[in-house]
Amino acid sequence: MADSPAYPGTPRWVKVLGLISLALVVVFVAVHLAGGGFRHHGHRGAQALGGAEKAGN
Amino acid sequence: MRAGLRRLALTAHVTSSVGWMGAVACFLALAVVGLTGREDQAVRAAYVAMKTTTWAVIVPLCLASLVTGLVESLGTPWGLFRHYWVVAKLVLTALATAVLLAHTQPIGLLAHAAARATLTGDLHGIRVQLLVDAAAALFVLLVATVLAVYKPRGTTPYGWRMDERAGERRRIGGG
Repeated sequence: MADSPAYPGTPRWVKVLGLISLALVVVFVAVHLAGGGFRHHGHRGAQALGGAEKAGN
Repeated sequence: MRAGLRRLALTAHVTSSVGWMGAVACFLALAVVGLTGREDQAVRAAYVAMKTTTWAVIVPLCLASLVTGLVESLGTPWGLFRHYWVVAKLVLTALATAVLLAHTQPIGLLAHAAARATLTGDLHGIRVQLLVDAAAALFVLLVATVLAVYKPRGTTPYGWRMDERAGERRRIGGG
């Protein structure tokens, strides 16, 4: 009985896409954490809204 | 899955996915108008329209694309974890969905501020962020479309084992 062929391994395009995706996710998270991303949207936005509304009243 | 049902699922998946990409392109155009527009009314209208576009078009099409993609992969020999291109599409779609749902709050906030004519400089960071994120989302959806069209080769270890077992069954059945 012939041995079944070995798994050829992960294709190069998967590794490249994975690395690019990982880099983009890291940049995305870093930008959001450093620059007041969606963790801060509500707080800063509420401040901006509140300040403007108070100024308008 | 029967052939007729498979075609229906494929049509629903292609329609929702391409529609999602088109809607994100519209969102990006509105984000550009919101950030660079000179007329106050046009800028405010853009942010109000972005909220409507998000809830009425982008979120439903995004969820429809995810669900029909799951149905399509599980109901056909492609499977969900057998081929790398299917796994990659699933990961990209899931990530895009999570990011989209996380951004509904700032989008609503901007629309609220725009409707009340209270778009202050403090919101500039969020406006830039939405523009950048919309461009990134469009790129991710484009990559997913390319994967779906080209279907690059590559079987996962799980898919390889499944193919091996199927081959063995065929050999036993044939012998």
